[in-house]
Amino acid sequence: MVLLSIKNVFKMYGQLEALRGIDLDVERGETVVVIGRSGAGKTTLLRCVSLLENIDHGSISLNGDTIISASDSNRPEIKVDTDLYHTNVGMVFQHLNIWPHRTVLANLMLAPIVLKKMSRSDARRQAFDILERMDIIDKADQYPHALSGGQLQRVALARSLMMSPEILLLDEITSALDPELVNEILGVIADLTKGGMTMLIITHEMYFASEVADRVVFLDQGEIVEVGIPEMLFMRPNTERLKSYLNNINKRKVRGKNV
Amino acid sequence: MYDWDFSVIYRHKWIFVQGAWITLQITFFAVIFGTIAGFILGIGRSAKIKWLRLPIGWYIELFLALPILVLLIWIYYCGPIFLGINLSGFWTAVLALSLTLSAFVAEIVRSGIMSVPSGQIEAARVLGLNKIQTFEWIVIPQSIRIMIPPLLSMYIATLKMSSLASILAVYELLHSAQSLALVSFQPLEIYTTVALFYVVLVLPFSLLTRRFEASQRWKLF
Repeated sequence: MVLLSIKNVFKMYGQLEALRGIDLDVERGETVVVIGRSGAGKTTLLRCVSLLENIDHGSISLNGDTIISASDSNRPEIKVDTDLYHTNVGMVFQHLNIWPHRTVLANLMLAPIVLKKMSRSDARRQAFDILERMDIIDKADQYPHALSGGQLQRVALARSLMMSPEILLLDEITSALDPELVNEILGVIADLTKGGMTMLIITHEMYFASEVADRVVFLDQGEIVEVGIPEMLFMRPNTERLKSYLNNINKRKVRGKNV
Repeated sequence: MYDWDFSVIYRHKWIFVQGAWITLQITFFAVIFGTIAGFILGIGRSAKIKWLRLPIGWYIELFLALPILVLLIWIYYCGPIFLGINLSGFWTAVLALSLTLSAFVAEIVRSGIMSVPSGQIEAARVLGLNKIQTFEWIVIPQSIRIMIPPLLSMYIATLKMSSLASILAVYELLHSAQSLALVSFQPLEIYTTVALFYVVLVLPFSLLTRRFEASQRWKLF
């Protein structure tokens, strides 16, 4: 069953066409990983899905309900209660954006208390539950500045899980991590997948992508160039654009090892 | 060598205390009014509403430009004629200081709000918080910490500028001392004492300012 459906989406920044007719369906329970060069439009795509940016053309729907649609003649029209939509779509940012003025626990508890009118004790229990799963329960009463990058990563994930979203959007969450920590996050993501979470993930880590993805999407210059299971895409790329992208990445890795 | 004789201070100590009390009163009212008005103006200017932003911008530019002494004299002498308001020296000082302070506070509030990284706000938006909830829970708590040190400096400046009310014969600290100096012929002792009084009045504010600086600020409240 299709959970998230992106249809023919265009996004312009002035003269720059950031997205040029994106079509993508994400099944319920599926993990889709988006790869591509910086500037390819990966983050823009996620920002459009999370309604942080308006689309210029096309439509996005969740569970068959149209969320936003626009055509060249019409201004984009948001068709749902956006605040409600946001509770169903969780997002973790590349820069995490943990609130520094609140403890880890308070970061987690804010949205459920304010939005779901959850009682403090219920929110607390749920927060401890999630923190335990993420293995950072001992940091619950700490302020973010006392946490390491990997720990903050898990706090950001935990915070978005508090609203029990149907789909998680993860924007390069491994980019700020030491290579060893990537494995740690992989474990967390794998657990989420087992729990049936649907995810749309951006990454530059091919290893990470091949481990977690059900499908990989290669985005280049605002277009989807190739889609497929990771083995297919990485072992037998069809297009020159994907080949050259993968070659560049491999070269970079080899150079890194030699130095 | 001048023969210091501070007994005059002791004999007339209540003149200083009373003057300091008036100084504190002027400062207190100006800080309250200036802060309230400044926050309203600063938030209004940060809002993306053009018909609100423009006039607030003019107001701020005007009162940032006007020297407080000019404002004081203008309100006192021209106010009754142009505006039909007839204020005592005390309330003229409060009004002039409030107007000037409100313009500075508005700028502090605006820059404080602007200093909250957009990612912090987006993190709240994608969780489903609306604009007002985001403002209440994220923007205000984060920006207030940034605003507090400059706000306290402005309050110190306001306290010091209240001495200008002496030209309107308001018996605040400086004017009280001036009157005493005229009759006792001991200006050296008297003005030295005045200087000390201001230092003592300002000191708690400066110490407070220091408390809010440094890396600890996330833990304070």
